[in-house]
Amino acid sequence: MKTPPMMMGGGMGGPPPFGARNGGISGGGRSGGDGGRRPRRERSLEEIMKTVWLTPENAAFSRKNGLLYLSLEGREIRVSLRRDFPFEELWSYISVLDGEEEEVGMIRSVDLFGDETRTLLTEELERRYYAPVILHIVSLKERYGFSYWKVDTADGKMEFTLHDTYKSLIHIDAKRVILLDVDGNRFEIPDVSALDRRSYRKIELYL
Amino acid sequence: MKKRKQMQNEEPQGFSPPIPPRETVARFRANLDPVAPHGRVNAAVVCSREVLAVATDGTETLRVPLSEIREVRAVAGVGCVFLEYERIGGEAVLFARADARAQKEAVRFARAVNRRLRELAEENGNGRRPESAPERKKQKSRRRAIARLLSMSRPEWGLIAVTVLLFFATTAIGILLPYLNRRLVDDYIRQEIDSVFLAGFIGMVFTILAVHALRVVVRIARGWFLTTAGNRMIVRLRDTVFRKIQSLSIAKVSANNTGELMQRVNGDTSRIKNFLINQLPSLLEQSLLLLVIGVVLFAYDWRLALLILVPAPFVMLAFRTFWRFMRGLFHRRRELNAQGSAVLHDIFSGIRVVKAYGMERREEERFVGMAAAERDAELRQEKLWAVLMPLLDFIMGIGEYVLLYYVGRQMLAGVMTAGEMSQFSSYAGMIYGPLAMLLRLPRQLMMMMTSLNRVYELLDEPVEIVDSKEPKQPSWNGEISVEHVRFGYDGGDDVLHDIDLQIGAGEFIGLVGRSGVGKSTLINLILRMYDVEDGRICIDGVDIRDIPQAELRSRMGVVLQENFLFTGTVKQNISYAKPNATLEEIIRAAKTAGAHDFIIRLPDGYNTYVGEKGYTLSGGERQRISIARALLHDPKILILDEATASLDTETEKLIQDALQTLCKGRTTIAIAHRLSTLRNATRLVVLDRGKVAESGSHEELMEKRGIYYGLVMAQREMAKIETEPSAPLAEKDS
Repeated sequence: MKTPPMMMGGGMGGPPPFGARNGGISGGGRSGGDGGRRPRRERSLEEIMKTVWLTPENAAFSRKNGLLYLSLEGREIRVSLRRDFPFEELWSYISVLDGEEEEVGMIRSVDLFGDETRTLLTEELERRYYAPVILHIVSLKERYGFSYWKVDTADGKMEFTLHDTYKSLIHIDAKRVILLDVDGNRFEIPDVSALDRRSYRKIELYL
Repeated sequence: MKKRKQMQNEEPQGFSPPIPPRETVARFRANLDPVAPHGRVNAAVVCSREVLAVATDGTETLRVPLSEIREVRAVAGVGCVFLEYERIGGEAVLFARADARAQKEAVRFARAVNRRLRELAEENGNGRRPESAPERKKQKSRRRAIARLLSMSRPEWGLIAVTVLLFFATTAIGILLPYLNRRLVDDYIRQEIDSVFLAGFIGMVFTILAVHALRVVVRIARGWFLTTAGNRMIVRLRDTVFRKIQSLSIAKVSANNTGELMQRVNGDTSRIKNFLINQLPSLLEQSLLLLVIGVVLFAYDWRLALLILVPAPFVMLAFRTFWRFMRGLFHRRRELNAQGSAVLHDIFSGIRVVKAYGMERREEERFVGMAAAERDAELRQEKLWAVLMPLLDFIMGIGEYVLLYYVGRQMLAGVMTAGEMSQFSSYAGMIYGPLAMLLRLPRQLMMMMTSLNRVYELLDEPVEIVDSKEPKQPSWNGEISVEHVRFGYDGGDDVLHDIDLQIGAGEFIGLVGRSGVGKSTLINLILRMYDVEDGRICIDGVDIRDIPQAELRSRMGVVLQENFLFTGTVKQNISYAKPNATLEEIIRAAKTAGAHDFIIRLPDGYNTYVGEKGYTLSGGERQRISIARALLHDPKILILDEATASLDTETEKLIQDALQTLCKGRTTIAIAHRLSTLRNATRLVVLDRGKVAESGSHEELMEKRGIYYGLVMAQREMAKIETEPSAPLAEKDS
């Protein structure tokens, strides 16, 4: 019994499952409802298969009005960045997409670029992938399938709610955990075992 | 049930056709008259190397030389099976009929005879001794299940020994406590109080306390040892069962459905564990207690002991009746409950149909009906329980009144003390618990044994597909030759009769034919999911049975119609067959499969969770991920089994393109119902009636105007109706 495939970014009842396309971070080139299905320029197989690796030699990034632009082969296009492996490689294997959400090229690693560009790319990525790091769990209450969290994060005190705590707590590896709240926000615990004892006791049951 | 048993026990007696056993190729016992619908006979069908003979009820009724027979067939009826042979001339003759239990046997018989017939045809009476049919002997283990379980628990024997000792300890304490109570009553409940007395009294109280505490400690230790031993054993058993299932051929795994296999791995093993950890120990303890108390009572006063035991048979009888009755009710309730769930599942799965036809009201009635039936069953059970339980308790208590009377008289006569009375009423109370429990033992034991036997039955299942003892390495150019292959699924007719097919390295073969003609079967044989019955399949000249399975599979890639994605990330799914692939390799594979574009649009990219619990991908997306999986695997031989059948035409085109890149430099075999899918094929092979009927390029086959032509024309008609503007076939031929 499979649920029918969802439309991209389509609305869905309840909290978003992990990896849902309407998750907290909405795509740059899409607007709400079915933005993802807007007609695209036909791309040939060759184009789809080819990877354009962006390097300081062939590409230049700049920022205008807070938006990222890429100069490539004499064209300047507005682009957005995507991590191909957001849980493993934070600064490598970055896909650069144009306004149509088509891949213009890929960045093997932001370290290939000079300091200025690297800062630009790093900031852009950090802005897009927003997940406050939880330092300390102040309180955690579970009620009727929802859990209510009060935490201290690197960005200050925060409160959030998880639906179906077991499922909303994603193990990236043995230590790292990502929490997905009912609104689609993400919180990260880089190393659960490094949490203080009282925080760990609170989260232990769900690990 | 009884009748069935009788039938099975019925020894086939009587006359066999006079054929020396050494000459026998195959035998079959038939118990129904071939002609008279209800006639029961006892017929022996024997095929020697030269003749087929039948003896019915002691007289020979048929003798045909094999040279006159073209083929023997087992034909399934309903509730029975027929055997017939076809004369060389073409006329078919029915010669035996048996009830459906003999179904498999009949198929086996027909196969063995046919094998001999082919040999005869080939050798032309050369007289070489035929290879006897590989009758699989069921490895029936003579060892009893329990003994096996015990030997399996060898690593835990130490723990078990400790546990048994602890059991003795608890029993001893159980006996000791009433004795201490008696001492307390007899020695310390009196009027005069002095310091010696007080010290003794306090000492006694502390002793009782200490013994109680000891009992707690012993029980904890016992529980700990038992759980440890039991769990270790069960994990090992589960592991063994799981490994066994994985080693079985697909045939066996699909024959038992997934649910049943899960039941064996989890359900049956837990039942065994439950018995070992919970039921067996308390049983042991109680029986031990029963025994010791009995001995103590008789030793003390045999009349008293008898008095206590007099009501026992009645209590046991009452309990037995009660349980039998309740079991029926329990069973009925469970059954109704399961039915209710089934109804619910049915309604919810088909909710679109229900709503589309406006049948909500009717479904509601159906559900309410089920719920009411369950409610009634439950009410009946609970009411009975409420009435009978107190009654039973009362009956159980009767013995104590008798005891009270007897002990009271003894006390009045000054023969017995108050302490002794307390001790014996404790013992009397303790004796009935174990009795009630022992009554339930047979049932629990039976349930456990059923589970245990089911598990061992699975473990004893012979592994059909085994690696050769002298493995060979093909050169892996990708040349496949299928030589005179014959195959039928267990208990069924032959699906493939005589397949002969040469596939050159790097060729793209399109397998075409009506559904059920054996296309997927052929592919399963090439993958060695099953072994061929006759003939052989070679890769670069090496029989695939000589290639280690791991090696064989590592060189083959498969893209199926319904591709299964495991619960995990996109990346894990792509790198399933090559877990150590670099990220760049994964990206490259995904790009080639046309999957990269949609993957990076997922919020978590390649780290997005898919599969049962994760994100739901569309059919096309799943398909592209499986293609990427196959690409990363980089197989020499690629098999596409209806890889694009479930997709819409637009997506299919995309996937087609992806597949095209995938096929480059590999030997590809593709099955497709939609013939347009095969336009890239270098050669088309049409299967019909288990044989290769036509083979050639699209143009050649169209000119031939055979089966393929018919299939194409039929699909073209369909395309016309659908008025697909981009029907590739129409483009190609017009």
